Amino acid sequence: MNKMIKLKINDLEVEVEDGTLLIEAAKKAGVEIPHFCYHPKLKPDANCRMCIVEIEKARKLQTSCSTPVTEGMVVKTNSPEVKEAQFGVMEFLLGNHPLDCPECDQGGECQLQDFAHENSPMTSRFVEEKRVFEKEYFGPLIEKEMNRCVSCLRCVRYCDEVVGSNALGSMQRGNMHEIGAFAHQELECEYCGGCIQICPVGALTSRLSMYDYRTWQLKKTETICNYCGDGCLLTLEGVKDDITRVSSEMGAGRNGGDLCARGFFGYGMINHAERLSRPTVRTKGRDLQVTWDWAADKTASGLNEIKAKYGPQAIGGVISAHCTNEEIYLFQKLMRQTIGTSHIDSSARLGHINAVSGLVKAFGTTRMVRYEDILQADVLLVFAGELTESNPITAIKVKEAVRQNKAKLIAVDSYSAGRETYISHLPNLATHHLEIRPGTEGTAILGLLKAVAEGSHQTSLSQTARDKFKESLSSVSYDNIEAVTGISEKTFREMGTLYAGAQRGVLIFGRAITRCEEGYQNVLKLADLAIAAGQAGQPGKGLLSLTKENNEYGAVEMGGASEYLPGLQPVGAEQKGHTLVEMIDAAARGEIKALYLVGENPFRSLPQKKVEEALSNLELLICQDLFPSEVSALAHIILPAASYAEKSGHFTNLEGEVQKVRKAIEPVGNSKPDWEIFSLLERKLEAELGDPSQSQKLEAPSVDVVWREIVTTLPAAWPNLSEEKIVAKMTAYIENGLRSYVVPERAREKEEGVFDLSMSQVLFHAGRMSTYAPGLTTLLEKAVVLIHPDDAEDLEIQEGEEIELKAGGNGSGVTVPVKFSKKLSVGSLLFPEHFGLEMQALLPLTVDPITGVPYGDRGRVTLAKVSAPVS
Amino acid sequence: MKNGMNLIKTVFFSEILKGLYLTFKHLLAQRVITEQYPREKRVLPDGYRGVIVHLRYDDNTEKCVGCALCEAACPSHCITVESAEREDIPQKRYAKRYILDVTKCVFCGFCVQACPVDALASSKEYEMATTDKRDLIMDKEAMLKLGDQYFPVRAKRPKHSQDRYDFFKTMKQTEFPTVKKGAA
Repeated sequence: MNKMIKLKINDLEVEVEDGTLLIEAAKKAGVEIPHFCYHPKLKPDANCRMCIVEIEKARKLQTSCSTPVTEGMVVKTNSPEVKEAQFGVMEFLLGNHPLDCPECDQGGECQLQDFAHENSPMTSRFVEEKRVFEKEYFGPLIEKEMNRCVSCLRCVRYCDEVVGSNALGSMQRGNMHEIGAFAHQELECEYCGGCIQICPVGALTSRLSMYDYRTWQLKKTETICNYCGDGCLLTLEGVKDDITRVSSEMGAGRNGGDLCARGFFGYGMINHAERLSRPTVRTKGRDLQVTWDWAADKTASGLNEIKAKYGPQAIGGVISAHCTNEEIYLFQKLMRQTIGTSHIDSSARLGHINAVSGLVKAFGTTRMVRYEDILQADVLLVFAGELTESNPITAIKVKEAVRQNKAKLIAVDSYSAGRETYISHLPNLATHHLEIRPGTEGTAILGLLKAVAEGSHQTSLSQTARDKFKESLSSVSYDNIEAVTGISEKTFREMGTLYAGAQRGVLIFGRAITRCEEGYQNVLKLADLAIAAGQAGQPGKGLLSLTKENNEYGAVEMGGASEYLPGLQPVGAEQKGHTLVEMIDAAARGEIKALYLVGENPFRSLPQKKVEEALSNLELLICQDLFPSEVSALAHIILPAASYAEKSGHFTNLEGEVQKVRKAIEPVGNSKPDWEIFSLLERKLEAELGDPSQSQKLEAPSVDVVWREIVTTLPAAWPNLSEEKIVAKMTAYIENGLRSYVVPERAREKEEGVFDLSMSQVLFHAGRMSTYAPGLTTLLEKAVVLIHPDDAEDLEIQEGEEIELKAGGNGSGVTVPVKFSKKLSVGSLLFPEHFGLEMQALLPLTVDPITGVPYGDRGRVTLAKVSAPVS
Repeated sequence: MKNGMNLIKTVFFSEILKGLYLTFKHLLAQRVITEQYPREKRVLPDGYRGVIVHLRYDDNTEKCVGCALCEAACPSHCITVESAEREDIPQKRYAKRYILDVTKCVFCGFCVQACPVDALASSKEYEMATTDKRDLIMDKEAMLKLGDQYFPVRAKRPKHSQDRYDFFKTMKQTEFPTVKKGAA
């Protein structure tokens, strides 16, 4: 706690911490000082001169945004001198400002409007004509109107200091000063929308919602974003039942007001025209649009029929991790209790379950690291090269830790450091970058583990445990590791010492670990690494698993996995139901007769042919989704669900923070929130089972009732273990858990013309849903395969040209255009997973023997130029 | 004394006689004061607030910029504005849809006062009787038509100084040529 300092502002006594800026102290005293360039997120710049105040004994007026408080300071913010100076500044600012407030989208929430009302001389002495700039666009989504600019440089500083994108710059001088991208090029940045949010006037506005609203018409609802696991607080703003804009309050929520392109521009899918809007029953190839009552009756009777005929185990259910905690809880309750099947799974199966199983085995909890811990860490070990694209807000925290708090960032991934766009890329940010060969993460972890176990650092680990580690690593040699990963012994030793010697070390791992081969084993190895380095079990230390979907944590914790009941209680081995992959296999064999797919599309994660065969084999396929998909084309009953903006509930983000989701608009069309559908079905099913009183209850219970049930019946639903318990669990884990490690012997040689293809997430999309958002499709509309320019030069491929990818010389290939990217390592290709299903067919599918996670993200392909000329 | 006078007045119906005197005076004077509407119409005073109309500039373009301040000012919520970008002139705001629900309108004229570009005015139109209520929900076209009828004298469109505009434009282009992606 800093020293407290007393000062007087306008005869009001205030006590603030040492180092506070005067403008903040004044705010605390309830005195508002007009300002433009000051923003609590940014370093003081003092360029607008609006926040000028009079300080006793100071010779001149001072800018309060850059003056720290001192003991006994006497400040006046409303003396005639101050007012005169502020009037002067305002007269200059308004000298060039056009009178287009009625047309401006910022009108009504504009700081210039607000401050001009109180601090302007009302008349101008300028007789000259105003400066005129042509209206321009920063790329497709940001509109720039330089006439309105007050040159506070907030956007430029936000882009540099917070996002680290450095895409904006300040050009020209004096009257002609202007904000722009370098050399008037089209902006190719992260499109986080931060510049739009932080602009005090209407100089930068969103093109997407241009002229669609006036600020006073907007109805605002604070909710949680549903794209990635970061759990950002969004304010959905809409005119009537149409979401027209998204913002995030500065400093609020886990994200602190920062958003990414998906959060800021990705709201278009909510009111999309292609949304499923009517319950549909398909009989004899004919689509019947029916009422909810009819559809629910049909579903319930169908399920009961199958249950009577084949037993409850012939029914399976998969739910998407985009649903709320309440919905997942209700769904598993419906499946397990009402129907009586044990085959239940969620999309957390596609990777996150690896992290949960591994971390729970080693530490008893998945909740170890919060964003604050990332900020305070001094060493960050990150096994997620695509962090800035998959989880942009976690990346912002990492950036802040590295840039402002001078943390060391060790990035281990198969990307290469190279910068050609303004999209930030983790290896560029890293203080130490270990560029490993694709698919060798597990071996790289072993290298680090060996370095840590054999190192001489002090840890809380007992000597016997250390010996155990050494012994289990005895068969592993650095030569082998180097042959596989391409990283030398020296580097491993340095990095090991760095990580083990950290005061607060945080280990972050993502898709490359959880969604790629050996996922579960690699998570355990990471746990071993953290334990051996003494970077777990103490405050501020631990592991953080990145999640792709917003509620993967909740999905597992609410029982949306075949091996876990709600509250992470393990299911007995004999009662354990099928996982997603096993369900599809069982359906293909004819053991499962009915599948209930809630928002989950197995076509996107498993081989299409197999899935299609399995799903057409079913007697009853229920598809509950937002948009028509491959599943809805095969389904017998289609139930339209409501998006996150249309329902209440709770999401659990990747830190394990449970956050409230609020309903912003009424469900689009005739859709219903998933939880309402589940409770409707539950009543119908129970009514069919001979409890007619249930069918009378037409009113669905409130979602709060469900939440109360979860909170009261599952006190252990959120295992927030104390440090002692984690340490105890950890010790027990080392005692009986250590295995001997083996390095895969064969280092994969680089073959001529064979490339490592990986599917990856891109910044502008998340899953399939975002491809329905017009803002995001403007940024990235079609699939392009990324290739390193050196490889392209060897193959004589031009950018934009189409190439054909084939798996292992097989007949069928996929034709896609290429884009150059220096962030890839030579010999690898990257494909965004959001578009097209064809690419998946090229990649081999393996299934984890323990957790049942399907891995189909990586493979090797051959590449050929398409001979046809491209116009 | 006063009570006595009142009693006498009441007994002899003096008030009624007074009233009848006025009636008979007019009856005998033969002066018609009933206006024979619709054959004859009254001259309306200045500042009469009839149906709200839209105005145009002298070059036939509509004045309205679609700022929806009228909607915000309207006490009876009878105005709905949906603004959009103009297709012919990009980046220009206009009212794509403008609905005035005359059945709700209270003719207060607040919208006229709120309009920053003087695009609205109170006409002297009051003959809105109809057999179909839907006729009273006016769109922008109907309001412009009424405006043309009642306000034939139009304001000049304010012009920005083109010289000034060109001056800044050339100045900017000599410094940094604008590079658009794919243009080269």
